[in-house]
Amino acid sequence: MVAVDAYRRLFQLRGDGKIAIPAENGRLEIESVSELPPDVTELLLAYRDGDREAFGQMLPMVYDDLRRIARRQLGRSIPNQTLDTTSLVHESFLKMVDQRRIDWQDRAHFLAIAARAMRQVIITYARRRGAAKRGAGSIRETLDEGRIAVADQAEQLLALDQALTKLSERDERLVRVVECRFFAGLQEEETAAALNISLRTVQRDWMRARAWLREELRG
Amino acid sequence: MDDNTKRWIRADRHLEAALDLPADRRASYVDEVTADDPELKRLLERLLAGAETDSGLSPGGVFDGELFDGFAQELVADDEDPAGQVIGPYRVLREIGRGGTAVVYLAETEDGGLAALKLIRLGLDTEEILLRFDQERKILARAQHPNIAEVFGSGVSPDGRPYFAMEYVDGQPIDTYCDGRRSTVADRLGLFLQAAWAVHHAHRDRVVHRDIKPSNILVTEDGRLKLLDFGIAKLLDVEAGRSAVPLTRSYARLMTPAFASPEQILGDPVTVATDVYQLGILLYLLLTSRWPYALAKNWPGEVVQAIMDTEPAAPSAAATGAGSMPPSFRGTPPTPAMIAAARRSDPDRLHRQLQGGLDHIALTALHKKPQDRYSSVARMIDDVERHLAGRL
Repeated sequence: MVAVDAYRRLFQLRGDGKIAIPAENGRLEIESVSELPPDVTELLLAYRDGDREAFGQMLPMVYDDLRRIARRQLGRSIPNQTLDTTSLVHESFLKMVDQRRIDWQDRAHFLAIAARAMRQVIITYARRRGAAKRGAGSIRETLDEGRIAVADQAEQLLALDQALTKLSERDERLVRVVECRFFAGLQEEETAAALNISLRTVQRDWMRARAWLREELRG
Repeated sequence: MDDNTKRWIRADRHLEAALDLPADRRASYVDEVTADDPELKRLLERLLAGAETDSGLSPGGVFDGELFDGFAQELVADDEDPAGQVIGPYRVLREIGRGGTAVVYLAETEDGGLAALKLIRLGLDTEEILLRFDQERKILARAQHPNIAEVFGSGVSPDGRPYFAMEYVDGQPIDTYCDGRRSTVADRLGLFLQAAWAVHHAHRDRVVHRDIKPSNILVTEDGRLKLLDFGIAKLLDVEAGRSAVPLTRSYARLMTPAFASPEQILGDPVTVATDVYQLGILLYLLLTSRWPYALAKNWPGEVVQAIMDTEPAAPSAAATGAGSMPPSFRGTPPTPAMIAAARRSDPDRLHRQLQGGLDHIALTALHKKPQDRYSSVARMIDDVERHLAGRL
């Protein structure tokens, strides 16, 4: 196998972190070696430090991570089992992040980002479901009740999302609290740690947020 | 500050004050502070009622209901085997590629031809991603060139995701292709020129590719080259020849580290000079199998440092001496003898082949400051052609 080893060395360079090695049949096959994906830890830290664009880049990775966790929890055979949403939120990011480069405060902060990601992916799903209803239009009466319920929920959620976007122009922190509490189901204490604010502030902000969101949605 | 904002702040301040009081004293507080403003009184009463009600907006509320069940099912559903799916006029054969936000399927047209279908992954059809996807489709559709993958059409898949169909290129990345055939320096330059012409053509359409690397440049068995993946390409300002929207630092992290230019790392505006730089790295790689900058420990920070500060070694020296390997490289670096053999040459001869003209071309393209590089890809092409004709 000396020849193969020589080949391996000869062909191992590729600019994108893959090596090409000759397979048994003599054709070259590409083998991936640590393809240096965008670094999640770095993106998270950048987002923490105010780089807003970093969030959009994390989203596909977060989504894959949510899928991985959900799939592990539910398996494929029992689709009606309930998802453990607490661990869904708490576990996301943890495996993707280089634990040596973050401290407990960062970890708490990542829960807030996970909450934000949950909002984004659920809203994206709701938008598709809502669109299905609008597309149905005149044939709405033929939809069964379950689908109408889902479509109505989707529209309510989209309205809430819009109200949140509007509220963020007034008071960004209120929106963060709603993301942690409503979209991620975090406890008051967790929310306080994630947003680095006091427990009392979380409680007060949650009530203020609900007051203003209801006012907006009343519209 | 407009009146609405003033009114919001005023109401919010009272709301906050009222919420700090015991529940049974809130109503009298509102009466007190709104004695002269019945409208504000009604608003505050509604706000307080909203704050105190638990229904609807409850902790973890999003997890309740059938909508979330549907979402959870979609999360768990394995990406089903796409084979046989019909998307527009195409029938999917199999998946051939997958990135962060999109998948690429090999598909068959009605008349039996092949096409590559690129579509956004389920669940990632966010507005931002949809926008970028649509931009890529437009850029590709506009850039008609024999060395740029052709777009056949676009549409929306049955489950509501946009897709576009393009020419299926059955080829190998340019570097793999060259190493596999032990292509000579001249043959490698010939392929490099095809890639450079494609980039030049895109520039004439005011498009910078900014992600030029071997895995985006495929060569078919019969030696035809196609530039692919305009996924992060950018339209330039007509006037300034600069990127209309400046890139941020985080965009630099989307780059393949080995091919990122200094201005991409800094988050400075991207210009045609960015593509010139990336073509410089590509040329370097094709000629030498090496990366221009010395790395001691291969740390992420060190890579950035090297791109920003380290002067590139001349290709003739890198290919025939110790040289440096790209940041993502793992394993035993090839020896000068191996590098030369992969070009049907020997180290001494390869040194002579690269010294002078090709050293000059690569190093000109790799200047740290964009304004010091070739001012256009056409000028770089000129120099390579002059070299091939023995005049440089």
